[in-house]
Amino acid sequence: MSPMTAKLVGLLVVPVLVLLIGFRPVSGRRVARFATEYDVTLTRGTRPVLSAYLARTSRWRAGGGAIGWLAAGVLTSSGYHYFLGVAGYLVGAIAAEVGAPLPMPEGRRRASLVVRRPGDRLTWGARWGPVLIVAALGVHTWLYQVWPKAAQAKVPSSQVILDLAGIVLATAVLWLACRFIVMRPRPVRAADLGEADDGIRASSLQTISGASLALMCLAALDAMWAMLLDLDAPEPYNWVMNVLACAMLLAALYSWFGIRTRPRPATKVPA
Amino acid sequence: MIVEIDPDAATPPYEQLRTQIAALIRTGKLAVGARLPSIRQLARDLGLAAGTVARAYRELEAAGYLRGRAGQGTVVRDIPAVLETERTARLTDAARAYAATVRELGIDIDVALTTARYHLTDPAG
Repeated sequence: MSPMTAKLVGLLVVPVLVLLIGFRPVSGRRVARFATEYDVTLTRGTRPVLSAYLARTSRWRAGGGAIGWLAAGVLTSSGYHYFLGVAGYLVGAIAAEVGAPLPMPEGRRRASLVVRRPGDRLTWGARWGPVLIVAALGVHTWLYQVWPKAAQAKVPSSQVILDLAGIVLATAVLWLACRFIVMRPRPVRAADLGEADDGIRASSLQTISGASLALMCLAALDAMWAMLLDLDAPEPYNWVMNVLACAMLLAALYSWFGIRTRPRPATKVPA
Repeated sequence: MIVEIDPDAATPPYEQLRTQIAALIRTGKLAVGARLPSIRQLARDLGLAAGTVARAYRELEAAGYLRGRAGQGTVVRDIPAVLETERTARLTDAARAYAATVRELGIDIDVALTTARYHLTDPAG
């Protein structure tokens, strides 16, 4: 196999796998797993709603991720596949939210007088993640600058600024998407459909906040990695910067796999 | 706490909303200081125009039930005192409107009274 062919296969294998997984039919077991995870009662009314939601979101997310991965191969040098893949996945996840998952009920219209806020569903990690990521990048950059050979620093400030801009953009996307999902119309429905609606919102918030935070971590890691490669610092600078970069990598993995949202909004007692 | 709008009712939606929120405040189900949802949230949930909900909130503010502050949202202010004469006049108006509907529909008086009593004593309002 020639190097060119190997590169092409490497470029295509991941998106093809992602598309195969994303476009596979939604099985009853998958719907049941979703219902268990988000505390939704499976009924004749909720089963098709959840099935349609899972099919739509999986396809959009997989499509976005695959396009992002391919774009990285076509437009940039190697090393940005993960970054653009996650960015594409996030764009796909947001696009999937545009279609209203549940129709408005007919006849009399009923609504709750409880105030909805994005913060009532997001967990601590999802809310404070962007601040922690920027703080870690700030400490890392500061250590890189204060070390005695800073005058010979080769990492351009434009790269750090670009990564920082990416983090700010991902934060804005996260905030706007969360607001959009939480503020979507929520008329009072039958109890089972209300549970399904809550579960769908929680799942969407979880995916979008996880992908956004992972993207922020990858952007911060890009700058951190460039600084580490250029590093010839004495201890403890070296140790601290390595720990920060490793923590950022673990945070990216945690954001992708571990971030959770509440299936129900946090209980509020009127003031 | 749930509010309900009947799009087919003769009473306009803003008035339905106004009377229900006022009743929730008067009965103590909405306590003083409780925050109400934003105009946009409630309008979307009820499938109404934002102006309709805004009008209901505005009239409740004018009547002393609510207080709207920038950045703090709309909160329950107080249970305003209603003069005896005003209370009697409004009760009479409401009774007349109900009586007119009962006559228009040709409903027996006993049935109308039973229906009214049911709704007056129904815990769900």
